[in-house]
Order: sequence, then C-alpha cells, then structure tokens
Amino acid sequence: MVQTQVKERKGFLNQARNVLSDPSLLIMLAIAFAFVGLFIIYPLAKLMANTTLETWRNFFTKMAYRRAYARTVYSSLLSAFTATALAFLYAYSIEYTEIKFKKFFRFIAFLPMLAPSSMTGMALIMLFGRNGLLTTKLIGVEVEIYGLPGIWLAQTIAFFPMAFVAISAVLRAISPNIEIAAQNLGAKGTELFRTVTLPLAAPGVLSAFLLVFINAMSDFANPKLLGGLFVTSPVQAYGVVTGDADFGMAATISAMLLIPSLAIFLIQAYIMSKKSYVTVTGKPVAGLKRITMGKGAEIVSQVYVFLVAALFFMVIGIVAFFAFADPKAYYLGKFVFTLKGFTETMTFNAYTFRNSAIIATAAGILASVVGLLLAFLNSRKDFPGKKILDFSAILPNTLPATFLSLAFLLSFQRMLTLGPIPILPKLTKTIFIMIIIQAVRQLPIGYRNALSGFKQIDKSIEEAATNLGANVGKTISSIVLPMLRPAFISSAVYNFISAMIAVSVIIFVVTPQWNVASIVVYSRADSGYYSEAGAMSIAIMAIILGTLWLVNFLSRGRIKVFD
Amino acid sequence: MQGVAHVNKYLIELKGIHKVFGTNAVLNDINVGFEEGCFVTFLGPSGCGKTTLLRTIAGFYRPDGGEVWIDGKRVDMLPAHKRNTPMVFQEYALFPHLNVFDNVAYGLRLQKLPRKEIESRVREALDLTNMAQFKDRSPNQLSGGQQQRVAIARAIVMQSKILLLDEPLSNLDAKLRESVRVELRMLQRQLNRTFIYVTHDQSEALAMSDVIVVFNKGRIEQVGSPMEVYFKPVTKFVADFIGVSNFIEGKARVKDGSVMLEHAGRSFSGLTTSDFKDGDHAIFSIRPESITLGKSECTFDSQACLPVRILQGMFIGEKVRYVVKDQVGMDWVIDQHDTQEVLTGDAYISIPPDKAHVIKE
Ligand SMILES: Nc1ncnc2c1ncn2[C@@H]1O[C@H](COP(=O)(O)OP(=O)(O)OP(=O)(O)O)[C@@H](O)[C@H]1O
Ligand SMILES: [Mg+2]
Repeated sequence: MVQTQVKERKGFLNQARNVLSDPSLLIMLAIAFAFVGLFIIYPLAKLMANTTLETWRNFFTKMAYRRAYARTVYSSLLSAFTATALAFLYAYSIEYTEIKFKKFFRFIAFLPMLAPSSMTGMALIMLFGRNGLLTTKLIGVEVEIYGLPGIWLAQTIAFFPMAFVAISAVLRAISPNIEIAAQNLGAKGTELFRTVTLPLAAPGVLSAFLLVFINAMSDFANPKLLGGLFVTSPVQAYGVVTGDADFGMAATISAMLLIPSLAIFLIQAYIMSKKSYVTVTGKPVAGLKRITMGKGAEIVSQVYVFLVAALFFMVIGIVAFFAFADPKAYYLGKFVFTLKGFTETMTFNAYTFRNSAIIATAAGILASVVGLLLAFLNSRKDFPGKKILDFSAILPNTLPATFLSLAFLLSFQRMLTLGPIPILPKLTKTIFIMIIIQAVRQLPIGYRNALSGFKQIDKSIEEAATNLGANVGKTISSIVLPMLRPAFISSAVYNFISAMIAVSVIIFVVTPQWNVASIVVYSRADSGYYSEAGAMSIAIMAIILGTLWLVNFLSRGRIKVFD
Repeated sequence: MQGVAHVNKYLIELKGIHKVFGTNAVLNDINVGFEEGCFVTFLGPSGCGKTTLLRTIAGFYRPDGGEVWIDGKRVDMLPAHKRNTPMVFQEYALFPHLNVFDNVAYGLRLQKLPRKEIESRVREALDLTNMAQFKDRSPNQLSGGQQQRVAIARAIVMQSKILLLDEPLSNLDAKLRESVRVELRMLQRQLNRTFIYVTHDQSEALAMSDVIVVFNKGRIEQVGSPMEVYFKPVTKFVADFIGVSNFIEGKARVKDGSVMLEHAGRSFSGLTTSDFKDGDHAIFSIRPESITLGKSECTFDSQACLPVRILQGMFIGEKVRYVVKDQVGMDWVIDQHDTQEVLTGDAYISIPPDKAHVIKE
C-alpha cells in the first residue's frame, strides 16, 4: 500500500476558504472586524500617534506631571484596597453566615452603582464640605475633606459594588462540599477560613482589587470634585485639553495611565491561560449549607452589613436632602423643603434625560449585539484573526475611561478616509460618538456574558439547525438568539445602567447639544450647585430603579440584572 | 477511472477520505460506497473515527483528503446546511425553546414550504415515531426515549434519501434499546431510505444491518453483511471484535483447496476466501459454538481433536460457556448449547473441518 502522509488542512488559507464559502459568516466577520478595527484599535493607535518625543520628555522632566501620576497611583491603590477589603467582608457575611435580610443587603451593595459616581463625591461635600450639613451646620467643626481623604472615601464607596460583584461571584463558586469536607477533617472557624476559603477565594479577591485599581486610576469625576490641590492625572489631562488644547500632552498622560492596566491585563491573561482554579466548582449539593461562623461572629457580621448599608443610605439621603431643600434657606441655616427646585431642574434639564435615555438604550443594545456577535464567532467559528478579535473584545475593560474618551475625540474629529474612499463621517459633536464610545466601553461585559451563554448551549443544538438547512444567520436568529434572550436582555440592561451613570468615559466627547444627565450631575456639582446636582442624581437613580423594576416585572422575576 | 455507471451505483460514495486532527490521523484512506435503501452500520471500538466519518458525510468536517459523493454529486466542498443529510445526534440536540411540533417542522419551515404541507408532513413523521400525542410538549417535558423519537422524527421529516444516526440509542436503558432497535429497522424498511448508523455495540450491528463497516484506528477492516463479518472475518481484528473467537496461528499448508495448520501436534483444516500458498502465515478463527466438548475422544477422523483440561464452566442461560486449556497451554472458549450439566476435569474438544475460518495477514 502506498503510504502518503496526509496533513491536516489548516492555517490561514484554509480558514479563509471556509469563510468564503459561507456568505453570512463573511458578512458577520466583516462587521466584527470593522467595529473592532475602527472603534478600538484605530483610536488606540491614533492616541499614541498624538504623543511626541517632546510630550514624553515633558512628562518625565516636569514635576507637575510626575507628581500627579504618583498621586493617581497611590490614591488608587488606597481606594482599591479599602473597597476590596470592605466588599470582601460584606460578601463573606452574606455568603457565609445566617444573617437576617440577606436579599435586602445584597441589593444594597449595588446602590452606589445605580447613580453617577459623582453623587458620592458630592454627598461627601454636602456632609463634610465648607458648608457641610454634618460638620459645619450640625456639629460646628470644619474638617478638610478636599484632597486625598475625600478622593479615597468617595472612591471606596463608589467602587464598592464593583468589588462586591467580583468577590461574591467567587465565593459562590466555591463548592460548599470542599468546606464541608475540610470541616469534616477537623478544620473549624478561623482555621477553615484561613486554610480553605481564603486560598480558594484569593485569585478572585486579587482580580477584584486590580479591577478597582484600574478603574480608580482613570476616575475623573470624584477626583475633580474632591481633589482640590491634590490633582490626579485624569484631571490634569482634562485641564491640559480644556485649558491649553495641548492634545499631545493629554495623550501622553493618558497613555501613562494605560501602562499599569495593560500590564495587569496581560499578566492576568497569562495566568489565566496557565491555570484557572478560580473555577473550582463541583455541583453544590442541594440542602448542604455551610455554617462556618459562631454566634458572636454572626452578630458582628450583621452589625457590619448594617453599618455599610447605613453609610450608603446616608450618601443617598444627604443628596435627596439637598435636592429638596431650599438652597437660600439652607445658606441661612434653615431647613425648608420644597419641590420647586426639583421641578425647575427637571424642566430645565429634560433634554439631557432624553439624550441619556436614547444614548444609554442604543449603547446598551449595541454593546450586547456586538458582544453577542463576537462571542458567537469566537466560540463557534474558525477564521483567521480569531485571537485578535478576542483580545480586542476585552481590551476596552482595560483602557482607562479617560484614555478612551480622549482617543475618540482625537480619532473622529474628521471624516475618515481610506485613500480617496470615505469610510466614516466625522463623528464628534454627534450623538453617534456618544453611543459608540459607551458601547465600546461596555463591550467586554456584553461579550463575556454572551460567551458564558454559549458555553451553556450544547454545540450540537446549533449543529442540528445547520444539519436541517439553516445557514449561520438563520441559526443565530432562530436558535441562538431565542435561547440567549434572558442573558442578552440582562446584559443590555446592565449596559444601559452603566451608560446612564457614566462620566469619565464621555468627558472629552460630550457636547452641549448632546449633553447627558450624568454629566450635568458632575458639572453642576463642580460649579457648586448642589441642589441641582442632587436633584439630577435622585432622578437618575429613580429612572434606573424603575428600569430594574420593569425588567423584573415583565420577566416575572426570571431576568436578573445583578446576579 | 470507472465511468458514470459506477457513480450511479452508490447513493453515498467515499473516495480516499483522510481526516487529521493536529498530528492525529483519525481517518485513513476510507474507500467505500453504499447503495440506496441500505441499513449501514459503522462499527468499531471507541475513538476509531466513526463519528468523524459520519460528520464528514454531514459536512461538519471537511476531509483533509479524498472526496465525498452523494447521489452522483461531489459534496465535500458544500457547507453542511446545503447537503440535506439529516442527522440524529447522540445528545438528541432538540431545540429547547420550541415544542415538539415546531422542532420537527424546523427544517421544513426553512425550506419555506406551504403551511398545509408542513403540517401534514410533520404529522406523518410524528405518527411514524408514535409521538403524535406529544406534539405540544416542550422537549424538557419528555423522557429520554421520547426525546429520541422527536429527534428521529425531525430528521426523517426532511425526506432525504439519507439518514445519519450517531449512537442514537446509547442514552437509553438496555430494555428500551432493544425495542427501539427493532422499530428503527422497521422504520428504515418502511421508508426505504439509506440509514447510516454508528455504534460500538456489535450485537446491535449484527441485529440491524444490511451492511456492516468495521473500523479500527481510522481504517476500514471489513465491509460486509452481518453473516460475512461474523463467519468470514477478513482480519483477526474483525474476528476478535465481533463476537468471541479462538485463534491459532502458524505456517499454512494447502491441500485439496483447504488450508491446513499444525497446532498441539494435530492438524486443523479450514476454509478461506483468500489465496494461500504453502508457507504463508495463517490465522484460524474458530467460534466457541463451533466446537464440541466431550468426555470421550472424538470418533471422526476428519475432526481435529485435542485433549484439554476444563478450567471453568459457567451456566449462562441458554448455554454453558467453558474455558479450557490445551496441552500447549492455550486457552479456548467453548459454548455448549442444549446441555443440562456442567462438566469438569479432563475432556476432549473437537473441531469440524469446515468450521475454522482462515484469515491471511
Ligand atoms: N474536533 C476534534 N479535534 C481533535 N481531535 C478529535 C476531534 N474529534 C475527534 N477527535 C479525535 O479523533 C478520534 C476519533 O474520534 P471519533 O469521535 O470519530 O471516534 P468514535 O469512533 O466516534 O468513538 P466513540 O465510539 O467513542 O464515539 C479520537 O481520537 C478523538 O480524540
Ligand atoms: Mg462517536
């Protein structure tokens, strides 16, 4: 018999040929690569191209830039540390003890996420600022909230939900079986915690810490409101753009913000590819409960979650107070409540709510659609450039929000052409740039959600559709979409909420015509109009809570946005 | 090259199929054709490439070498959704968000058939599979066996000349498996379509098939009817894989058209389909039920007779199975039907001349 060595058909040409034989796949790939190329890779490159040798030299020689950078790093480290530690204790109390009202406290953990983060900073000013209710008016002392303490406290509260989500997911993923096995072997109380729970949760806690750190690094609104003379890099970059129109310098500052997050991202990706013991699961056995705490520790937990909840309510409470208190009377030391200010603010800013609603809805849907598309391609199809697509889809999570914002401003000021062919009209000052940048920012969430959705669908179900004559497009519309609908809706709603409260990511591209409610909160607070800013915050929160309620009502509780 | 006539003979023809995953050659030069209306079984041990070949026919894999022809057309470049090769998946793969009726109607709706026609064809398929009363249920309200039927209905409703089935019974319990087996075979006869059925269960293959294709490590060992592969295996692997067999090996002597072999000082003769010369290496495959075991020496000269020691005798329902050792230390497996007692101690086995099947390797 003649032995010919047959090789596997693979590599670029074969993949390309497979792609070409399916037009609907080809179209989807074209859309995916166009989106990623135009709105992720190109802006990144464009921003880098705006830096010059001189701006880099400036950055490293001028004290102001280096100092701001150092301050950004250490204030972010502090905030990340406290937010993660507090969130860990909170999540642990909820997942590991028999405290009362778990559901309620779980929901409370998300509260700071349901309003623009500047609400927290504003609340601190209202409580402890020059004219603060708690300090100046009620107690009669003055504390210095501006500077590092203010930023630290505000970011700790504002980023608490982000850390909580990550940590509670990890704690839930640890199988009670393991702990029960350990208890069975004689480990108890703190020993169990130290030898089993903590090591298993450590990777998740670390990644929560890094996530908060990255986000704190690029946070704009709170450092701007509370920083005072303590200037951080994003605030500085904003000043450089609005004051001196020095885009090159701002680009350099932003690029420096990217370095730590990119390093973290790459290291994490490397570790993930090596091993993943974050996903130590095993099926939770029904009826098994882990009770790893004594009565005393449980009371402490209950008190702790109560105190955190009280803090959050205080933040919201003071903002509501300012939203409905008459500012003139307050200045004179009297508390008069009226709806007049609130209604005036609402009327005057109605268009920003309309804009917010349009932009956040469109961005929420766009991010989920593109995320779904990319997840489908990545988990189900073979094509050239797959790795690039995957990398680009999670990259926006790593890009500092202010970096992305500046990159978009620099990239889409003019019509884009490829040689003589126009490919994209000028986007700045249009609603599209607002929608697209928010969608890009949220893309990793939509993508990850969809990916995990696909993992849960047996591949053979889609193959069965193909086998019965459905092409790729038809398979998606008739099989994949209906099956992923709950995941899709919850990610779209989540993205909608994030877009409603975003400030940092749109700070460079927002224009008066397309101004949005979350920006008004920040800008009014920055100008000292706390009543208006408070009213706007309360209204945004109401809209978000209303949306959550509506989703819950329409899906009869089946679609959970936060879980 | 064979002409057009050759192409028309087979409904499905595989020519020199190769499939490689990484460095793992999973299918190696597969050449075989199947006629219309046949019940074909792909049989082989786990991991030998049966599923891979079936999926290559369905278009989920593109072969790395060779051609797939269906109904006179070359299809290996055609994407899976254009092949009309309906398949029953091992995991059933029903669409969980559609009810039974819509699951079965799915493929017809894609063809944009008129509503009336879809309805009547779905009804017909559900009747054939006895699932008509469940048409409004959702898949998760069905038992495994019922889901299986829906999966079959969803495939046969396509009215393709071909139906591919990948171990469709493996998730059912043993009892149910046997009855569904019979039903499937009847369904195939009734529809007169070509079924390609993947299994690693040799008794299933023997019971159902017109043609069995025996695979081993990505190659075809033998293609033949159940009788052929059972009684006339062409390789030791086939003889060993299908049923139980005893093997003796050695240099062949050819005498009067039959092949002779020395074992334990006795001369064995056997029948073969291959050509033998003196001195060729021959393997004799002797089925346990072809051997008789007795307390006295054999009476016929034509039979090979060996003194043995009985190691073990087991009563297993319709027969007694013995394991015995001959004088050169080889173990034999022997089945005795119609017996009321289990023998022990020393005994003799005798093998009639035409019962040994000779394999050339
Ligand atoms: N997609 C794939 N990528 C890489 N290797 C594969 C793939 N599919 C199958 N293989 C390998 O090819 C070989 C044959 O697999 P195949 O599924 O065809 O076996 P099988 O005969 O159907 O076995 P079983 O009876 O267990 O289903 C196995 O070694 C398997 O590991
Ligand atoms: Mg298989």
